Amino acid sequence: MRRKLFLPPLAALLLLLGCAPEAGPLQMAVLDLDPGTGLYDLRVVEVRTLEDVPALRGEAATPIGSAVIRLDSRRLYDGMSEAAFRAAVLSEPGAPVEAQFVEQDGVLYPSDFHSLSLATAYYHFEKARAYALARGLGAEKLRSTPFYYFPALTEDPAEGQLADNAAWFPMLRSFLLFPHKDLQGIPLSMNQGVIAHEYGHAIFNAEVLNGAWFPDVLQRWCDDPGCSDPHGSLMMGSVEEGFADIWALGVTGDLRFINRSIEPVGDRRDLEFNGSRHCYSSAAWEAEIEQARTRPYQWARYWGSRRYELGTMWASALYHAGLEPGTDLDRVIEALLASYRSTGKASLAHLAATDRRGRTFGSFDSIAQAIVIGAKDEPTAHALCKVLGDRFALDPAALDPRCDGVAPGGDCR
Amino acid sequence: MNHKSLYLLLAILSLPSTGLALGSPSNEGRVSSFAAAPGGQPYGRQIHAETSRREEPRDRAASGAGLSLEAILALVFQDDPQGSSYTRDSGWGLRLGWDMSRQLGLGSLPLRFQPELSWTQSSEEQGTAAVIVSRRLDSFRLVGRLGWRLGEPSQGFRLIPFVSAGPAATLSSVRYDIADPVGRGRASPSSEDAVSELQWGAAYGAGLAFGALAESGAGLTGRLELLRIHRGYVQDLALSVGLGFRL
Repeated sequence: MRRKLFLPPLAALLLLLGCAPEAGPLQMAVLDLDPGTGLYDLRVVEVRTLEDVPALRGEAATPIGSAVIRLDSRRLYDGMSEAAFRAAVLSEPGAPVEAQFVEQDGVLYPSDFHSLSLATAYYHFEKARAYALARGLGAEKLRSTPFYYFPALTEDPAEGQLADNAAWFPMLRSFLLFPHKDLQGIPLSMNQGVIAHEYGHAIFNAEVLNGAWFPDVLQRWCDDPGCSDPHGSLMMGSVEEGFADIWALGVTGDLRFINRSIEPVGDRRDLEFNGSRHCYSSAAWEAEIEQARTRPYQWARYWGSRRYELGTMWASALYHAGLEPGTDLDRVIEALLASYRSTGKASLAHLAATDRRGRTFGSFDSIAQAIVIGAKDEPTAHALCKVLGDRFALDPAALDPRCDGVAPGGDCR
Repeated sequence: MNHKSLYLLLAILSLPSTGLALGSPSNEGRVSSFAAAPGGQPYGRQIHAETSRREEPRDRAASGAGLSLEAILALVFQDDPQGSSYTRDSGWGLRLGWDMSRQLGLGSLPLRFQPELSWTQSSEEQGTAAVIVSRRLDSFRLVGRLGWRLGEPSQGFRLIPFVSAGPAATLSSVRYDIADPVGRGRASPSSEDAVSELQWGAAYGAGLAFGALAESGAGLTGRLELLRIHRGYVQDLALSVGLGFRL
């Protein structure tokens, strides 16, 4: 009798312990570019691929919170297995996140800053992935890739935790979205361009480097302490950044996506043509490498920032190729993606795997040729030949037989 | 606490202890002693029995209305969206209780039952200059508090360990202030949005209540309480201190 008396209130109480929102396509408010104003604003969007709503886990990404990562810059991780590396650097492996929402008119609104940041990051990963799938990325590539949200990462204990940055970190096969500290603009985790840029890095790793957690090319191309022949490794660093920028532009259409979050970057990463920044040549490349050799103590710092500027040359060239008649940016990016792996011996993956010293990969001709060959249609091939030929002083006819008779553009020469 | 709420609280706490004349169980036995003795027992023996009952120590909480009002200060540990254990926040609120032990016939027992209506408010604001998210949680709870009085019932000071459980509703109000740096200098560089939802759930916990009561049953009450509050699928943990008056 007593049991019967207690059961109804107990059952009612248990019913009040609410359930999480159900997975599947749902309406969610996130920070997104408003096409009307060109500014970031809170917008209601459809999120399609979530499998667990509070954990914000789905096909596009898997967030991991509260991880502690300790990289020791003095320690050599050579020869370690991937599992041993993970165990060595992940002091705290982290945990699934649990975003909180309020529901109004069928829309889920993240109810605190981190929930908004996480939900927005997931949506941006979903959008970046959808764009890449539409350009030809394999459906199984980068599925549910983890992203460490606000990890406590130290490289050197004396310098404290890394902040105000985002990265693709192949050694953990994960994205890293660091905490904000000094940056007061749109948080990097909520910047669609930044997320798409990092997704671009991951695509490059998955396709060109075959998803290697510890790509061997850099060691192969720099096997002596001073890296006496740095062409391959420097080119790899710069094209990765440039191609990542063009992925960001393809997803967002935002030419100054970095400035939303990092104002001090100014116009250095702008993709609009700038004659003093975006015209280059193989001869200038050789001269710059030789000049940098004269200051070996500044080598790493110099190329650390210079590779972004060289990358911007590639991104700007690809952007302008997409503006040529008969093609568009989407088709240019399809050519770029095809150049990663789909074009056989001309592909960047083949070059990276077979180039013993990095000299071939480290030439503008090889990279430009791979991209042009990746073009599926003649107008796109012509556009690429014209713009790349102009920006890097290359002979269009040497890039692809389809470009016979195509004159380089006249922006630089 | 805003001024209006403070004045209201002070006004309630300064009310004279009127007792509200809800009756007192300590009078009930004496009335029956004037009726016919059951079972034909001699009246003298009956009177003796009633006299000895009168001499039992009287529970002070049995007097008065049994209504109490407490101000609450709380440390709220909220589930952290980042997956770590919690984020910490402070809150404040009010609690209204009614000691129903006498109405339930528990007057002579150490067992105490008290339904309570509580409200606490906590708020947080986080973000960068460009993206700020502010959230306010107003938590309302209707819980039953079941306690066990320690010590002698006649003592003015009492300690009551208790457990409590009941339904809860939390009004979550969220505001978003967005100002994209690229929009600086434009006519409307920033935007504000606000949403809210009443989220149902449950609350349960345990604690230690204390009271310093006068003969009339009025006096100071307070508690230290640990409470788990569910709002939707999210759980908060509140460590609260309460201090107030009982009438």
